Amino acid sequence: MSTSPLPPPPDLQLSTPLRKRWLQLRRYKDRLATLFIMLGGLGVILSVLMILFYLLYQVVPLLTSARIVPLEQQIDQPLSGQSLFMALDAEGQVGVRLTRQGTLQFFQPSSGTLLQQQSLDLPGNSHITDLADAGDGLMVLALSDGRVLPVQRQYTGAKDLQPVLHYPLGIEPLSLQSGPASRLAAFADQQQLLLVSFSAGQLHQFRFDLSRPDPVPLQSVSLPTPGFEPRKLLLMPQQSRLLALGPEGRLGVIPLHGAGQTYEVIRASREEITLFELLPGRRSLMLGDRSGALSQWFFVPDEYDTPKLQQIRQYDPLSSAPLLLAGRDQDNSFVTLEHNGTLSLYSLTSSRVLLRSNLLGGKPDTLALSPHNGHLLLEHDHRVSSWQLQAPHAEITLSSLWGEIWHEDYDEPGYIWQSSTNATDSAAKYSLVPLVFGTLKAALYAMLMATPMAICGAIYTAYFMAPALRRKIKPMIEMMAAIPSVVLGFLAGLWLAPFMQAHLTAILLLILLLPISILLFAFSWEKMPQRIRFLLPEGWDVILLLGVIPLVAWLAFPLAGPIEDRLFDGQLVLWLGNQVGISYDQRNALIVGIAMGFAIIPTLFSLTEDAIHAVPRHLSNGALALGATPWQALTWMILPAASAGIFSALMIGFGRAIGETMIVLMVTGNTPIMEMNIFEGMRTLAANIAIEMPESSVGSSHYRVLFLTALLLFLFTLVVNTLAELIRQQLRRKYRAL
Amino acid sequence: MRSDNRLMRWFHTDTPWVWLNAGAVALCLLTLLGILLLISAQGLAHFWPAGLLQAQVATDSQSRRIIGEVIRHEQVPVLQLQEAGISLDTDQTEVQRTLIRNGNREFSDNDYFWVLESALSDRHYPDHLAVFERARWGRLYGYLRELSEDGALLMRQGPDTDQEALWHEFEQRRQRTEALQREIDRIESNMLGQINRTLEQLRLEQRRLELLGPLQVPQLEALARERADLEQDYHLLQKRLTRLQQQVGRNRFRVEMADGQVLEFAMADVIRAYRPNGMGLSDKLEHFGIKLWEFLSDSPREGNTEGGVFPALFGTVLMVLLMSLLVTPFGVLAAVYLHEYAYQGRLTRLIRIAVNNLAGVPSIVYGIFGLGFFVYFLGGSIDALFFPEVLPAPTFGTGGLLWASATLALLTLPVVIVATEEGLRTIPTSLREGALALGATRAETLWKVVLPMASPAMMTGVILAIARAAGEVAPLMLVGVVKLVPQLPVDGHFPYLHLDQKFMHLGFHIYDVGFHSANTEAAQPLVYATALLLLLVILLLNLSAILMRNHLRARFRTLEPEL
Repeated sequence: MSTSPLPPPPDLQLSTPLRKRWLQLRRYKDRLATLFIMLGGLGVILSVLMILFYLLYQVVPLLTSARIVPLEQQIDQPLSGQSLFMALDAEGQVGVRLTRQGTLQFFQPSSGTLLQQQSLDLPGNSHITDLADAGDGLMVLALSDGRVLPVQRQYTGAKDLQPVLHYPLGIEPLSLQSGPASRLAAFADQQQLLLVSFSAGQLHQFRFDLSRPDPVPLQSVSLPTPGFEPRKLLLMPQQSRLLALGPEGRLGVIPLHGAGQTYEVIRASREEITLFELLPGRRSLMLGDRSGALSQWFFVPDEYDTPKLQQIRQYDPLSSAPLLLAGRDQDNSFVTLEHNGTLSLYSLTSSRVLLRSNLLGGKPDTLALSPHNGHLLLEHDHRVSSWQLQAPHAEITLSSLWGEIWHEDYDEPGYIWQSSTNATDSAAKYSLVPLVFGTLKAALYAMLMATPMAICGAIYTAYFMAPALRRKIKPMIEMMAAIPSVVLGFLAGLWLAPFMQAHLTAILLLILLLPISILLFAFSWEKMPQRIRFLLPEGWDVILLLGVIPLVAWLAFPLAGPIEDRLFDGQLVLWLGNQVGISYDQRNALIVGIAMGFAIIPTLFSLTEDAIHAVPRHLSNGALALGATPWQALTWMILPAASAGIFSALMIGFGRAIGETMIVLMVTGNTPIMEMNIFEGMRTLAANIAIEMPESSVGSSHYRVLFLTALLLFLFTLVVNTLAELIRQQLRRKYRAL
Repeated sequence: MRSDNRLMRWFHTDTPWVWLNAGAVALCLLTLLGILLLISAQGLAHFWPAGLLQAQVATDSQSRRIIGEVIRHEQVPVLQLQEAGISLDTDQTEVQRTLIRNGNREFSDNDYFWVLESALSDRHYPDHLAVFERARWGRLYGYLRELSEDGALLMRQGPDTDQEALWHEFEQRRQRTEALQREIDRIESNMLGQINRTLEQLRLEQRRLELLGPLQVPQLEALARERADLEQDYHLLQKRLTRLQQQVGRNRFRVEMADGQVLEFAMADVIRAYRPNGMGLSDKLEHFGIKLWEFLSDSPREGNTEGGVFPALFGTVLMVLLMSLLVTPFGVLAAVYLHEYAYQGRLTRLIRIAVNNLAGVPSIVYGIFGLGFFVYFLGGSIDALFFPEVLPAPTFGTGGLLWASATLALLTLPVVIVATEEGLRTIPTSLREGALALGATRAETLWKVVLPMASPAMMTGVILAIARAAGEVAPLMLVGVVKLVPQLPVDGHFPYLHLDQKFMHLGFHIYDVGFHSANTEAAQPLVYATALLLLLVILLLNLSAILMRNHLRARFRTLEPEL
C-alpha cells in the first residue's frame, strides 16, 4: 500500500437548505427571546414601580374640588304660594315645600315631576306665621290665630313613595296655655316633643308625650326671658339651652328647665345677624351677619364646668349677607346662600371656602340639602331648581389632616384621629398628627435601644475580634434577622411586658450593674496571672463575658427585692404612680423600644460592621505604627473614615423602624394619643393601616386617607433609602481613591 | 492609694471601652440564645404530660378539694391582693400564689384559678387521677368510677374490681369508639361534603343558565332529576350516619370530680385519656411524641387552645412555595433585562436604584396595594367576567391564596432582582464573548452559559426572598389570611388547588391566638409551640435552599460574590 494521501475530507456541505433553516430558526429564537426579555423585564420593573402610581391614583381623588351641577330634569312649572319651608325627605328622593297658606307640595327632584299637593286644613282664614322643624319630618306650625299644630310628614311604599301626613297631637290645632305664640322652637325624639313658645313677652316651655295623642302637655314651665323680642328661636337639647336671636347682633342664651337660673345675652356681632341656624346634630350654631362674616359657635365648659357659648372659628367671608344654610353631618360640610344668590360650600373644620358660584342671581327664598345623595333644592322667585352637589371628600383638607382642630364634642382644640364613631351623627376625625407622632416616638425609642448595642457590637466585631471568631459570630447575628417580627412582638407582649411590670426594679438594677460589673471583671481579668490569661487567644474576650453577664443577671434578681423594699416601699410601679405621677401602662414605649430595637439590631450591626471593615487596613496600621493604642486608632482614624457608612446604616435602620407593623400592633395599646412619656402607648402609621384597612369601605374618605398614610410611608422610606445609598456609593468611590 | 492609681491607669489605657463593646456583642448573642431557649422551653413544655395535683384549699372557713395541673408560681404583693378584695392577715409584703388549671370548662367559669400557697394543704399526686381530653369543653380531671353500655352498668370500681382492670376495659372501649368516630368523620366530611358540593354546583349551573336567558322546561327537569338523585344518596348516607352515631353513643362512663360529685360522660367525646401521675419515663416520652405529632397533624380545636396547627403549617408552606414559583421567573427576567439587554445609561442606573429602594419599603404598603389592586380591582374584574353567577358573594374579589402569594412575590421581587444581578455581574465577560465567538446567538449564550453559572446567585436570591416572606404577617392580614379555615386549599376535588380560598398562616396564628383568643391563659403554651414551629420552618427553608445552592455551586463551579 502506497502512502496514500489522507482520505478526502468528508463531504461537509455547509450550506444545505436544512442547515439554512436551522440557522434561521436559531436567529428567530434569538429575536423572540430578545423581545420576550425586553418586554418581560420592562414589564416587571414597571409593575414594581406601579405601586407608587397606584397609591397616587387612590390619593388624588382627595384633591378633587367640589362641583355643583344642575340635575337633568328640572321642575318646569312655577309653584304657587309664598314659600315658608322646603326640605328633602326619604333620603333625598322627595322634595316638600310648605306655603304660608298651608299647602304642602311634594315633588321628585330626579324626575322633575310634581307628586302631590295637599292642603292642611287650617281653620278659618288663618295662615302660618312661624314654623319650627323638630326633626325627622315633624313640623310645628304656629298659626295666625295663635294656636299651634304639629304635623309629621311620612312616606309609605318602597318604590312609589306616597306622602302621608300624621298629626301626633290630633288634627285640631292646640291652644297653648301661655297664649298665642308668635315664635316657636321645637325638638322631638321618639318619645317626647319639646316645644318652646314666645308669647306676650314671655318664653314658655312645654313637653308633650308623643306615645299618647294627648294634647295636654306633661310639663309647662316659664323660662327666664331676655328683654328683647326674639326674631328666631333655636333649641339645643344636649346642652339644655335655648338660643334667641335679638337685634343688633345680640343673642340670648336661656337655660331650659332651670328654675332660678338666669339667661345670658351675648353680643355676637357688631352687625345685624342675618343667618342664625343650627347644624344637623344640634351641637353647633352658625352665625352670619350683614357684612358677610360667617362663624361657628358651640358650648364649651368653663372653669366651673358651666357650658358657655363661644366662637370657635370664622370662615372665609362672603360678599353679601348670608341668609340660608343647610348642613351634612357625615362629612361635616355645609352650604350657605347669600343675599345676591351666591352659593358657597364650606367644610366645618377648615375656614376656607370649597366652592362658590352664583347660581341664582337674586335673593333666594328657601334651601334644602339631602345628605344622602347630595341633592340640593334652591328656590328663587317661585321657581325651584334642582342641583347635584359633588363633594365626595369635603372633610379632608390640609388643615383637617395636619392642623389643630376644635371639634364639636371636645373642650379644646386638639389633634384627633378617630375614624369610627359610635354616635351616628358625629363625623369621623382624620388628623395624621397623632399617628406621625406615634411612628416617630416608636422609631426613636427603637433607635435609642438598638444603636448603642449595634454600633458598639459592630465596632468590636469588625476591629477587635479575632477573625476566626468573627467568621462564627457574624452569621449568628445575621440569624437574629431571621426571627420574624411576629415572634418578637408576641414575646414582648406576652412575656416581656408582664415580666417587666413584675420585676421593674430588677431590670433597672441590671441595666445599672452590667457596665460596672463588666468593667470590674475586665480589671480583675487583667490582674490575673499570665498562665490563666493566655489560655484564651487574643480577640476571644467575648467568650468570657458570655459567662459573666448571665451571672450578674442571676444575682440582680435576688438583690432587687430588698432594694425595692427599702427605696420604693415594696412596689416601684405604684411608687412611680403615686410619688412621681408617671402612670405605668404594661404595654408601653419601653417594651416597644426593646422589641423593635432587637428587630433592627441585625440590620444596623451588619451595615455598620461592613462599613468599619471596609476601611482600608493601612490607615489603622499607620496610626498604630505612629504609637496610637488600638482604641485611639479606632476613634481617631477608623470611625471618622467610616462615619458616612455608619450614618447611612442608621438611616436604613430608622427607615426599617418606621415601617415595622407587627411588633407595634402586638405590644402597644394602639391608642392614637400624643404622649412623650415612655410608659404610655401610641399608634403608628403602619399599625393603623393594618387595623383599619379591613374595615374600610372602598372609595370612602377613610379608605383614601389610609392610602395617603401608605403613600407617606412609601415616600419616606424611599427618600431615606435613596439618600443612604447615595452616601454609600460616594463612600465607595472615596475608598477606591485611597 | 496605689490601687487607685492602678485603676486610673487602667482606665487610661482605653481597654475598658473595648471590654464594654465586647459586652454589647455578648449581650446581643445572649438575648438571641435566651429567646431561642425561652421559646423552646415554653413550647415543648406544652406537650409534656404534667402531674395532676390533688390538694385541699382553705377558703374563709371552709375547706374544699381541688384537682388540677400546676401551671406556675408567682410572688404577688399583698397590696395588689387587697385591692382585688382578698383580705389577708400577714405582715409580709409579698406572698406566693399558684396558678392551677382545673379544666372542666362546662362546670366552672374559669378553667384557671389562683390559689395562695398558704391556703393549700394535703398535697399529693394520686396514681389513679386521670386526665380526659375531650372534643368539646376541654379537659376533664377526676377518678374513673364506672363504665356502662346502653344504660346498663358494665364495670364499677369496688372491692372486687380494681382500678387497673377498670382502666384497661375503658381504654379498649375507647379505642373502639375512636375508630367508629373516625368513620363518622369520614362520612361527614368526605361523602356528605361531596354531595353538598355537587348540589352547590347544580345551583350555580342553574344560575349561570338563568343569566343567559330564561330556562326551558327540559333543562329544569334535568336539573331537578339530578338534584333528586343526590338527595336520595344523601338520605342513605344520613341513615348510615345515624346508625353509627347510635353505636358510638352506647358507651358512657362516670367520673368522680374534685368536689366529690360523680357525673356521667359519653365516651365518644373523649379523644385521649391518661393518668399522668402513674406514668413512667418511657410512657411520658411516648405521650410527648404523640402530642407532638397531634400538634403537627391535627386541626385546631376549642377556639385554638387545643389541637394542632396543621392547616396553618400547610398554608404557610404552600403560600411560600407559590410565592417562589411566581417570583423566580419574573425576578430573573427583570435582572437579565437590566444586566444583559438594557442600555447601561442613566435611566438604567436610576431604575436600579429604584428597585433597590423598594426592598426597604414597609411590608404593609405592599399589603394595602395588594388589597386595593389585586383583590378589589383584579379580583373584582375576574369575578364579573368569569363568576357572575356566584355574585354578590366574591370568589376572587376577596383575599385568598393567589393574591397573598402575588403580594408577597411583589414584596420580595426586588431582593431576587438584586441578588441575580449580582450573580450576573460576577460572570466574566470573556465567557460570554467566547460563546458568541463560537457562533452562539445571544439567547443561546444566555440560556446555556450565563444562566446556569448564575443559578447559585439566583438560588441565593430565592433564599432571601423565602426567608423574608415566611415571616411577614402584616400584608397577609389584609389579603387573605383568616383565623380558621374549614378546609385546606388543596383537596381532592377539581381544580385540586383552590387559589381563591382563604388560608391559615403560622405567623398570623401566633398573632391571633396570642392576642385575640377568649382564653389567653390556655392559649399561651400553644402560641409558644407555634412560634417554635415557625422558627423551625424558616430555618428548614433556609437550610434546604442553602443545600440546593451548594449543590449547584459544586456543579457549576463558578465564581460568585461573597455573600
